[in-house]
Amino acid sequence: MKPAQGRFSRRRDASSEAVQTTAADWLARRDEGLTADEQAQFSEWLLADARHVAAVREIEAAWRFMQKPRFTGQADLVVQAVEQRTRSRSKLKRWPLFAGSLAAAAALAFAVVALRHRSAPAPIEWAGQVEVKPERRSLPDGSVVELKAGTDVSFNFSTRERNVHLLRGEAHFAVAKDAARPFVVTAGSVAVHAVGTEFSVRMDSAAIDVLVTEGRVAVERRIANPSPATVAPAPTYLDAGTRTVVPVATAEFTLLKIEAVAAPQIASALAWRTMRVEFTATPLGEIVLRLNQQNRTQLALADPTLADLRISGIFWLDDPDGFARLIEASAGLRTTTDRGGQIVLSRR
Amino acid sequence: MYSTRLCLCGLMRFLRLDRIWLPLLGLTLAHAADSSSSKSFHVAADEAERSLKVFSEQSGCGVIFVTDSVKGLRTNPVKGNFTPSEALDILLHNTGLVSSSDAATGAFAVRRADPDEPKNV
Repeated sequence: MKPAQGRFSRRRDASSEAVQTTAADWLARRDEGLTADEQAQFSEWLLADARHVAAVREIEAAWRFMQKPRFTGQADLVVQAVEQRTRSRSKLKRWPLFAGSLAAAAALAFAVVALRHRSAPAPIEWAGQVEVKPERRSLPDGSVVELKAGTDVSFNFSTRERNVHLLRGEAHFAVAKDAARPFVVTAGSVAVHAVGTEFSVRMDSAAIDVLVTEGRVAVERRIANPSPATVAPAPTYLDAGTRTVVPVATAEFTLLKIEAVAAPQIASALAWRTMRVEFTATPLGEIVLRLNQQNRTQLALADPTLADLRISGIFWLDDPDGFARLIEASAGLRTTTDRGGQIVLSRR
Repeated sequence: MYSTRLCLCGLMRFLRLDRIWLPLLGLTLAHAADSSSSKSFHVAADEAERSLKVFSEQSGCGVIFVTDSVKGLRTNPVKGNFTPSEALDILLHNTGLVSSSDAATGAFAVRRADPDEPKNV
């Protein structure tokens, strides 16, 4: 695709249509990956006009709602239709003006027919899927922390250290490299030091669990009230594919045990990262299918027509009971548990 | 955008703010199913389908609703520190939508109010 800016620089006024199309074009390219030059061009374009930023935000929201592949296809048609109209308009002679407007009308008619054709089957096919939506937060240094449901994390960055405090729950950290400032996650008496790595820390009443997925971390126990005579134990190094579980009740000087973790075990330990999902006009039947794939407790629909009921929201795939309760309340359905332990949803 | 960041850093270094201010920049990324804690909300007035999801992101609480039940409805803006429940009440005030919370998950179910049901006050 040619650079979007070149394509529309001929136009005398940046109509909102062109802005929308350019924005859609940039977003599509950004998804494919931008080179440093393209990134700079994109930034320039965004800074050029406040409407550009607004257009990008609008389209991003629309994409999230409508599903990207479909919309990109439609954007192509819009671009074509608009280009045709531009070409026919820029011929500044009298009589071709008439031919031009005919061409424009034809192009528009074509675009409308083509778009309608494209969008007609859409609501059944693409609308309503289950999109994984992890709870992600960016830290000021660019590190990303993913939070499991019920997690409490606070951070305190200074010029010399990046401190994160896990108060409760489980979080996965993708630490941005900054050799000048060590990244330290504290959970209870355990401190995890990282320079540029990926690891998760889980904290519950019984133990603190550190699992490294990339790079290397140093784990140490922080002594609460060190006397002058105490010597801090050397930190334990954990590489990718290893974990250490530190029971809360362990004495301070016990050596930390390192276990190797195989890929399937890592996947299941971090499965919570893909549990939070977003529904957008998703058929209830599809949601039930996904929940049943994930959980031992199965859901069933007493009335097959319930499968077409469109549901929206954000929830977790590993809680079928919770989902059943919420569907009961939001859709006015009834839940009963049958003899097999299955949760059955029915109309009142 | 990048140059603005550099300017700010430069300014802060000049005023020696980096020694004082940054350490005070301790912030909480709290995401708790704990519905009793206040959180900072910044939800713009919007179509319910979108704003309910924004509410979910900012509160950390799940939200479920039947897509058709919120179609065409716009919600109120929410700005400030509230518990998730308070924020949702403000969001849905006078919209014809009501919410109920699930004690175990802290998640909310949103639906249209019954005609004879008392509206959100």
